[in-house]
Amino acid sequence: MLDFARVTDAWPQLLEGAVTTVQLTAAAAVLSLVVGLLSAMLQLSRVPGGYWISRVYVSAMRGTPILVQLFVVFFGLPLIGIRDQNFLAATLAIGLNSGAFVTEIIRASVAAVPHGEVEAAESIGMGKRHVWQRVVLPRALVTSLPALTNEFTILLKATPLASVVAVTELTYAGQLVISRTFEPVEILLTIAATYIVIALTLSQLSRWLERRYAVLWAGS
Amino acid sequence: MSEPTPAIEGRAIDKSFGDTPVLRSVSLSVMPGEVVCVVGPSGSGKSTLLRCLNWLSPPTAGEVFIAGEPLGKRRNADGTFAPLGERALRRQRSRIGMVFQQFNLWPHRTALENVIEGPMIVRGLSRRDAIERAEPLMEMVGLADKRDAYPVRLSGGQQQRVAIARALAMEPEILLFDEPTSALDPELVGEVLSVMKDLAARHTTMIVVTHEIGFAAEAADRMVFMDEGRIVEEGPPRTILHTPKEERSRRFLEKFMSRSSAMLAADPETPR
Amino acid sequence: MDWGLMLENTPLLLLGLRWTIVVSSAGMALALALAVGLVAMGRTSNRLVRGIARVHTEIILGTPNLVLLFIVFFILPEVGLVIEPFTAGLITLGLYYSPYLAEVIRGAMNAVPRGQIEAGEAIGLSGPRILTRIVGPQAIGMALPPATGLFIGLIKDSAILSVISVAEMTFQAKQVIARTYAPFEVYVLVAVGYWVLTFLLELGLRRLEGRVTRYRSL
Repeated sequence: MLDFARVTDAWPQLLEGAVTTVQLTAAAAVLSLVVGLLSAMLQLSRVPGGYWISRVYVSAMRGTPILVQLFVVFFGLPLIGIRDQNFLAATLAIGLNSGAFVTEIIRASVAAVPHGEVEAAESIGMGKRHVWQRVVLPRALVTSLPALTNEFTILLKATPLASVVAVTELTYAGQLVISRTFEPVEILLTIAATYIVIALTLSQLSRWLERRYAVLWAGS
Repeated sequence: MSEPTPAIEGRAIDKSFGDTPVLRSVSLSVMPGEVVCVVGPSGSGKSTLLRCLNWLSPPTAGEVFIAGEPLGKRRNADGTFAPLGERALRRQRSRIGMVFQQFNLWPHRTALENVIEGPMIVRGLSRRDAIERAEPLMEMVGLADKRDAYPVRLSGGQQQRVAIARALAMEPEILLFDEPTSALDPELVGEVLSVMKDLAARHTTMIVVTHEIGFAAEAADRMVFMDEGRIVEEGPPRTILHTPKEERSRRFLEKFMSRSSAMLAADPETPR
Repeated sequence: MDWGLMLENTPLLLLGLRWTIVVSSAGMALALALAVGLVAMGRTSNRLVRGIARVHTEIILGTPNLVLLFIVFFILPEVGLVIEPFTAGLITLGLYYSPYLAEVIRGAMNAVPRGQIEAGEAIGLSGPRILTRIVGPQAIGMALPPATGLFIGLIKDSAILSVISVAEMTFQAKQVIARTYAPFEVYVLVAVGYWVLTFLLELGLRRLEGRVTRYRSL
């Protein structure tokens, strides 16, 4: 029979893990967004070789397992003198991986910005930088909100991988509890439920953002 | 039999979508060999009537008979009706050919394959026999040389002619046309209408929903004017076009007359 | 980096690659079967059946695959189902990808215009015939690109099976590292292995897609 009393005992430890999961998700999402934006702009810009750098980055990230990427970063960091930074390694690996998918999302939404709006901006004398800053990017980011939420949900679901490099996020916290109590069922189900709740919160948040901006710009 | 049986007959057909009535007690019967054109403003229920007549959207109330046999229903011993099984309905439906406004060719099949699909799969003909029968049809619609082309390579007019051949390949007792030229560029309308005129001249039983008044005047034995889900007026095209009894048909037709003097030219009986 | 040592250990990694391919293919087959089931369940009129499909989808969409793997591997034995790590792995991959694949199938089927189905009904084709002769052939072409993406995702996710000691490539990498003490180099090599595998798969499936959608351009 299921006995969730054991979970109650372990609750503080799991809660701490959940907080770390949220922190890891947020840090990786920020990195992913920044890298994704830069990579998308590099791909669309006329920087020599920029297109190919971005393409190879995207292809490498999408073609290899995130777990292997995590190991590469985790064992690569000490080679450049950074030691015992497990959280940083996990953030880097997960964020860089997700950044490749964000690149594709941004690229698609930039392509979806009506050309007329760009021309309108150019016709009032905006320079290239301002066209991007004031017209293309704001429009593209709002169009890509649903896809980005989706991507960040996937990112959230990749954070348990950090457990293999001993970051005490939710899944690792759960494993520690299980190794103490030898009762995996209740703990695992609780963990799964917690992820589902975080994922649902994330999608609610995005829906709220989307409504806010989509309604604002509905006439455009 | 004292009275000949209609090829197709709709009796008191009602059709509503949710709370919106689209057809209100429409009755229409068409004799074998007769060509009937249905005209009327958009939203008058013409297309819905056709879709009810072949049970693509079953009527809310009323009956349809093909050659006296109830469609989509089975007559019980006591004279009441019960819904018919899938399989029997399909067999009935294959006796009614349908040509759609949007052609609806299957893009992953060549022109010829579109035509032989029904004979092969529904009638169980071998591919060879089906092709043998399809060839004269491709000839008839003037596309013998396009038989191996995929729809994406055909113009709208050509696609619609393939669609007519596809319907004919089932050797239907009745052909229904749902605004067959409305989706076509003006310069392609003629080629489709000329195939339809051929069919009419061969006394194919046809119901044609159309905005081509000129075609109706020339090819129809009878014209039906519909408005707001009802048949307002019906009779020989000449009568309907030139001496309509009802105010509503007169107003509708006047609009068309002024717009297309070509139609007047098409009617030799019009006094000038 | 000691390339001689790497070369010496390559056969073990290739053996792992073979198991990666085997477990991924089996997982994809299971995902496909489950996805077809989910699509069928979603199309029935029975609300309970539709509800089950929905709940399954929502749970999977919110659960990390690693957690799902632990659930399958640790909880099934608790209810008396003792399974091999390999089986647990392929069940996890199949379960995890089923709702995503179902969505792809649903989208592809819905993309076939309604009028084409009606044209089939009008000449008397049966429901199953319309599915196999009109909707199916076109849906396959439309589903292939997104399904390829999912298959690649599944192959990459199979790396997590190393956690429960399925002898796929990432697990073999750990074995090699235990002998060579060169984790960075081994993992880079393994990453290249996955990259080549997914690249070839994408190439092959794109060719297949070209073949089944030839009618769009001929």
